[in-house]
Amino acid sequence: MANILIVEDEEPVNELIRRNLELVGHQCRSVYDGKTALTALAECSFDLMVLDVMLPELDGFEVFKQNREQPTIFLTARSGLSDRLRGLTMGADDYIVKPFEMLELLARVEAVLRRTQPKRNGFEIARVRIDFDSRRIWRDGVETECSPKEYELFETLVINRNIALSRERLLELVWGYDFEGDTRTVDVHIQRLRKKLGLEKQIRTVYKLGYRLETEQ
Amino acid sequence: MKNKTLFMTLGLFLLFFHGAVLLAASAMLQGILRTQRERCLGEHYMIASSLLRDMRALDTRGIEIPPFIDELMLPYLYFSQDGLTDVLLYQDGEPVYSNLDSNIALPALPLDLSGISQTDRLTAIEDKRFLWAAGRLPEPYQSYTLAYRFDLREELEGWRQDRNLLLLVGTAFTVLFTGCLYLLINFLFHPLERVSRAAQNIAAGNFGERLPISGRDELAELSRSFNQMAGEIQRQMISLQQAAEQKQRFIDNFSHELRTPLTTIYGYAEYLQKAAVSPEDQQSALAYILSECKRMQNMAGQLLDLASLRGGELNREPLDAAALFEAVSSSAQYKASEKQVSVVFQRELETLSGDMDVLRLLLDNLVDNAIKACNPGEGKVLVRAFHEDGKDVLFVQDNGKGMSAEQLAHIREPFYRADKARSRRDGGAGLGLALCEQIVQAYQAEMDFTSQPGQGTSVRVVFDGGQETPG
Repeated sequence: MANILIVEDEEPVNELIRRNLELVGHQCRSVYDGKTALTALAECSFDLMVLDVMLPELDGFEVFKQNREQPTIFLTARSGLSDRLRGLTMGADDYIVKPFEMLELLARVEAVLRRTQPKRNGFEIARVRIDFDSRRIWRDGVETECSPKEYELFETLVINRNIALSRERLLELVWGYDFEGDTRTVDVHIQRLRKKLGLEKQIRTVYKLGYRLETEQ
Repeated sequence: MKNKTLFMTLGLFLLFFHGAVLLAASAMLQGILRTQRERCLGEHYMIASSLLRDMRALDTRGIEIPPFIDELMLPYLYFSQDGLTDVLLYQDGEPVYSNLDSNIALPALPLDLSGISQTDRLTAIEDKRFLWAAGRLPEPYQSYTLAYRFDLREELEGWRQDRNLLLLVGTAFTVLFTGCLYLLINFLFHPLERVSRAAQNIAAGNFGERLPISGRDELAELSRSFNQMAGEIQRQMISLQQAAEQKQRFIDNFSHELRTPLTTIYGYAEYLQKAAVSPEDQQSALAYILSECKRMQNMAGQLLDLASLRGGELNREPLDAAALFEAVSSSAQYKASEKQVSVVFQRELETLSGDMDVLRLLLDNLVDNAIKACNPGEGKVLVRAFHEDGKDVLFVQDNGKGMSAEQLAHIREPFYRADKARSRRDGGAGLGLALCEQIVQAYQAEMDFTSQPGQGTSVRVVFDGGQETPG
């Protein structure tokens, strides 16, 4: 979906971010220091850069200073306000404090991409096509009637595909914080989606956790 | 202090000055009165003798005196021409003649002369305004009393004017004196004010403030002491600030160091839980989790070592150098063989003084760093213990990749890593040399690094007073 540059000197963290982003379909390139990041930015264009603040040789702020147009999410280990403010006042799109949650990272990446890329594509899985702009779903080329909640639930699953989402989290993301129903609402909607779209295999129940839309296997 | 000095000096001056003025005025008055009294007594004597002569003359001629009193007294009228002097005659205490205007009642004699003998013809007294010289005439005219009265008005007036002038001049001089005194005291107290200002500046945080020192008086001494104090304060403040900064840096680094493995562990655990991943991906994620756990474990252990070293008393018992090398060698062996690095031990000492566990921690860390710096397959590490200038020296040398001067400057800082990526992979917490530094400081030893990029590093730990007796 999007082309993302990951600048993080800690190899395990870099790898973690890359894996998470690739799960939901982004293309990633990992670099481990500021100088290489500058070269990479000069070579090709990226839709988004995830940039660690503390980098060897050239720190994240310096890298960003030289690429202000680049949509950027800062990654910082410091919870100190000054670092966050500095990043944001410099014009960064967002920041994430380590340690972060997977869904938080994905949500912020998604939010920035939605802001910076007005044109959003659709997505296709097992003969089902979803179009984010017109908010419509087709199965085998035939448009399927969906309630708004059903559409939003499916969109959430598509955006966070390959990642298990708990029922609570789905309630929160689709129905909102103030929704007073219980998690059975989610189960009911999932059942309906599976039936309507013929995605019984793809929308998997993850034991003791929730649901996951799987794009492979 | 300044005002106190000013007012006290001024008060003292005013007291003495005006006291002197008053004394002088009073002496002047006394002088005037004495002169006048002499004069009055002289005049009185002259009039009295001449009157006596006249009375005797009348007596010899057998003429009664009383009816001729006025005529007798006539020649003395000229005395009263100045308008100040009166000549009065009393008989048995009653006034019988005066040259005063007849309208005015004759003044009574202000003093009782009854007890005074004729020879002692006194006397002059002053009442508020007049100076009286009075005395009885000699026998047989003792019933007559002649009084010479002098009006002191003019004299007193003159004296008053003189006194007022004196006071006026005195006041003028006092004002002048006060001004001069103020300037003088200001001048004298100026250095003290400077001291006070400097002290205030220092209190406000400007610790670089110093006083100029001139002369050799008490003030110069004070300035010197003050500067000494300011220097000491500045030194202390700087060292406190440095300590605080160091601590802050430690905390910053520590939180960073803690967050990185936490991020990794949390992230991969979540990844394993939520993502549909292949068995290979699962294995690699688990490997990350395990290695990060190990790193945190190392860090916790080293932090514990650091904490226990801090403030603890270290013993300096003689210990067997061979046993120390044995222990270090066995713990280094695994890593050395893994990286195919040869570690050579050269021992020229039988004993070292110190705690076995602590020195082992020190040497373990240094050897561990040396091995890590080596390139696999071609590394050589030399560990030596020897005597030099009466001091025990531990020496570790490697032929690894070395460090730049800039890196050398930082290696003792907690969490600093010369080679970040490699150190992470090896599970290092970046605390090894900080720990060594702590140990070295506790033993008052010195640790020196020499290194060139690409040519290896050597470190010398020189134990000062290696022969020190235990306890």
